[in-house]
Amino acid sequence: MFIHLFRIVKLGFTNFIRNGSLSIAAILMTTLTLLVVTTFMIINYAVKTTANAVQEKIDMKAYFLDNVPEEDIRDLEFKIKSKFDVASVSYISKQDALDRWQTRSINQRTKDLITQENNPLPRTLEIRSADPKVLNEITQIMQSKTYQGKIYRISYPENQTIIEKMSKIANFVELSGLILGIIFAAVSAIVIFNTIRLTIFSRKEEIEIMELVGASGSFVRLPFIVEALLYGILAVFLTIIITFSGLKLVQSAAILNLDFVWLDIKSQIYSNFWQIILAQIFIGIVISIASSWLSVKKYLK
Amino acid sequence: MEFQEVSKHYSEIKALDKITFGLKKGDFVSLVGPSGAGKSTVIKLLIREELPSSGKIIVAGRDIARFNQRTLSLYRRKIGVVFQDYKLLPHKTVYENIAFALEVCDATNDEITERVPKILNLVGLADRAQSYPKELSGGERQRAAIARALIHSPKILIADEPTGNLDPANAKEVIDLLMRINRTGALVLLATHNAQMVNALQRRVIKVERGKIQTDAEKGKYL
Repeated sequence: MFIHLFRIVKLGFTNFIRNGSLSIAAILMTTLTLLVVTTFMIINYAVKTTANAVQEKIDMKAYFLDNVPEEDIRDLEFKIKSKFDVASVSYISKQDALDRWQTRSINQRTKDLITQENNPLPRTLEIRSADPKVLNEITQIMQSKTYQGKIYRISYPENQTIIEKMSKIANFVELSGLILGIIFAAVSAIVIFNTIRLTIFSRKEEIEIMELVGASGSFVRLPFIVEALLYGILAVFLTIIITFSGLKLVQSAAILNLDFVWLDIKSQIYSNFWQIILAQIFIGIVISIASSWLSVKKYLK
Repeated sequence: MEFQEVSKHYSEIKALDKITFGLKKGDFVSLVGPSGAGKSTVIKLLIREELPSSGKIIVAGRDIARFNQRTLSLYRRKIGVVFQDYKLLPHKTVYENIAFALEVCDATNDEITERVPKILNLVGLADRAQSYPKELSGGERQRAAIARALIHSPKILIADEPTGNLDPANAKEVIDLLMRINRTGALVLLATHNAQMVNALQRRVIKVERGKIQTDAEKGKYL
């Protein structure tokens, strides 16, 4: 039994080396399809993360009239924090608003128009949430009778359309990503299957001879499976190397162009590292083996 | 071993037409006839490379058409075949090709390292052991094929034109080899159209022509 297994593995390895060009072709084809799938997965993560990040950047602002006591504003802040699923609620005092004003990149003359003594900047509540529904509900509360005559402007209704658009884009990317992902995976499976089928087709005479000499079905088939396993492992390995050195290469360009979202994207990719590797292993190795199994079966009489 | 009214058709062509004959353990039978007479078809049916269109082939009391995958492998391991087109594995050396026939029989590594060099010496290929089939001449390939067919001491030895690419001296050696294995009790079936050789053997001759048996004679001659 052990010697049987040893011979099968040895046969697989020798065939892999002696059919060098076929092996290389199979590995390259598998790597190429895996790269397409991986790149797609990464782009999908990037778009999703960007959409989320942009959405998070769009916040809601409520500007309060100067005659409203601070406690009322703090009350509302506390109410929102405790009742709603928000990322953050922050109170901007008149002084904070002035500080921000001073740091803006506008000319000094304009800056000097607003001073400690003459500060028309309103106190503000800044609210962030990833969920537009939450922001909608908060808007409704702010527009209710209780706050009439206290808040003179809510920025959210103006931003609402763009937020809704962003969230639609994010949902669309997620859904189309899933569908495209499945299509890509299926196409890769077909490409890998056909590549392996071709390598086995060119050796169908070999299979026939082995059978005529009295080799059992498994003794003919298993060395081919060992070969397919080698194709798969090497292709996955190559893909991982190419993917992550590729990520390193585009890093500086990405920081320049994607600015604040790049770090999010990167952490997203790395936290999904195992998901990416598992997808590669499934497509690369499991499908190689299955293809090999089916192809040899076709020529076994 | 018996052929019972066996016919084989390839679309419109009748390769074999209801032939019946029997072979016994220890027989040395020459199967003769012009090319295209049906000799190779008999061999293909015998090793179940193909199935008969009608009729039965009985070996040791069993219809070989009913063998399952496993029984078929076991059956083939008891037969040694020298194919007309050699059928050597292209990606294996001569040594590995011969060792492969032992590996499939679950021979131990010791048996392989002991027997393969012996048979290579016997067929005069000791110095070509590490060559690949494509590096060999026709005669060398034929001898490699013979070595593979003999390595596991088969109970039945089938040889399809085993001397076709050999000069008379080598051809005689091959025939002597076949005689030797026959003396150990193996059934030898030799398909050939070398009349001189068959006549010198003075053993049973079955002559096929256009898919039918013309003559079947003990101590026959190839007329």
